[in-house]
Amino acid sequence: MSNQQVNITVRNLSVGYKKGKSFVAIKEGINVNAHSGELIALIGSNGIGKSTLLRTLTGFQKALGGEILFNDRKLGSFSIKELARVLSFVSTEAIRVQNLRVWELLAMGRYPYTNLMGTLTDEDNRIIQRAIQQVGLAGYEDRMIDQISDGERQRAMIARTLVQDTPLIILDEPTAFLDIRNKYEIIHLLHDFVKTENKTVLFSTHDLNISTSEVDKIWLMLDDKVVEGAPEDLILAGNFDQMFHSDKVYFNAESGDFMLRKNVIGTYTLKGPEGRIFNWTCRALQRIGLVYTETKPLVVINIPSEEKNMLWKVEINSKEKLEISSLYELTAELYKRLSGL
Amino acid sequence: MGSLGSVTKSQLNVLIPSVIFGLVLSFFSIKSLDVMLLGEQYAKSMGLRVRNARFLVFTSTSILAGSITAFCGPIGFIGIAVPHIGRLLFKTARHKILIPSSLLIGSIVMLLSDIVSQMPGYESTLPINSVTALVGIPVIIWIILKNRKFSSV
Repeated sequence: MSNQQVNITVRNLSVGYKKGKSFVAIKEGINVNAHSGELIALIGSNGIGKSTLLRTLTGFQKALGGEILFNDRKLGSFSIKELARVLSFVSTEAIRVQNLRVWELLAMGRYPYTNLMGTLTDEDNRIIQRAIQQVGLAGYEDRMIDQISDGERQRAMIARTLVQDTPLIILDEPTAFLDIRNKYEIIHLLHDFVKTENKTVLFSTHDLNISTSEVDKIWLMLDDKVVEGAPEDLILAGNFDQMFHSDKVYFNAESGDFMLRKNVIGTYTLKGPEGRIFNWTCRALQRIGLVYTETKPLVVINIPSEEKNMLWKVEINSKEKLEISSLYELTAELYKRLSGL
Repeated sequence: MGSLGSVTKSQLNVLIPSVIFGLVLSFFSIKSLDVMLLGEQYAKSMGLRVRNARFLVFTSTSILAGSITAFCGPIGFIGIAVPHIGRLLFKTARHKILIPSSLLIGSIVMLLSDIVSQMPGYESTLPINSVTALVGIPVIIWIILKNRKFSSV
């Protein structure tokens, strides 16, 4: 496998599309960098130009201005064959080809290296076999790609980029259509290649809290600019708050994810040992719009001290006393009383 | 409308080299056709010059279809049905198998149709087009039904 280093420098880039004879810029003045051994997430709301930026970086469409440098060499100066050895790409659309086996899909990745007739050498076969192992698809070699699950197909597509053996891999929303487990596993897989093979992997995504826990860097596309930095840097700088201008959604800097704003219906305090029960009781109460306070709470709740005997003792307004045996009943009861229904 | 019987020996001097040339070109497009299965964007990202590859495919198709039509007249349904029969029989998307299989299945179907069109004991010969249609139409109907099922999933 190649151990090429690749550093990507994007300077003052404008991306957009051609409309008739004129050009429409979607985003201007993009300045970002990427280095070997970095997993990078591209984040931004729908329609802000993520896919356009990725397509421009892969050379599928021309930049409207500025420059993209791979190791100080301009993107435009690479021939299509040279580029195929520098970067590989996975698009967001699910591929549906009939009668194509996983092995054959991966073999396509050797295209830039094989002879005129596309004959695979022993070395090519070894590389394909290794990629299949790496993405955990061993035993799937002869399965048809239209007869495997979305998660498996996405793994196969990622394996194909490994087979293409490029220092830079670009993926457009690799975790769309996947269930939570597969989302985590795919991001984790990418994280592994970045670290073990010293590759640069850039992917766009909407899964904020998965990516903030795994990526080295985020390119965040906002309405007026593109900022980059470690996920924590961007959270501390308050950049995520600027992503949406919405009364209903806000960025919770503690949990690192977007949350829905709730109407506050009261205050509460909890008494009892901290731990799992404590945390999930908090979550349940926040869900119905109660806010934690130490001073003069409306509701005081004694949480169960052990998981064998689940009983919440509730005191509302220092008067009413209730004993409730599940969080479902607790939240329903409190919501009914406090929201004035 | 289409006949295998009217080609003279001197015409074969032109037909054979043209067909061989067309076939050679089609064998050289195997690699490009495989990589184009995933669509143009993927093909490009794997280093295929899509425009050149298209040109190669169009050229070989034109030479093959053009030379045969010039000497044997228009014969319908073979070109559209045979590659699908190949896919059905061999269950693969690899052109390394599909192109030779189309070649062989095409010859077999064509010769069988020719035999049927001039069955012994009949005075007149049937137009070969009517025989190839008998083979081709079921295949086309099958493709349409299959694709409808596929897109509704």
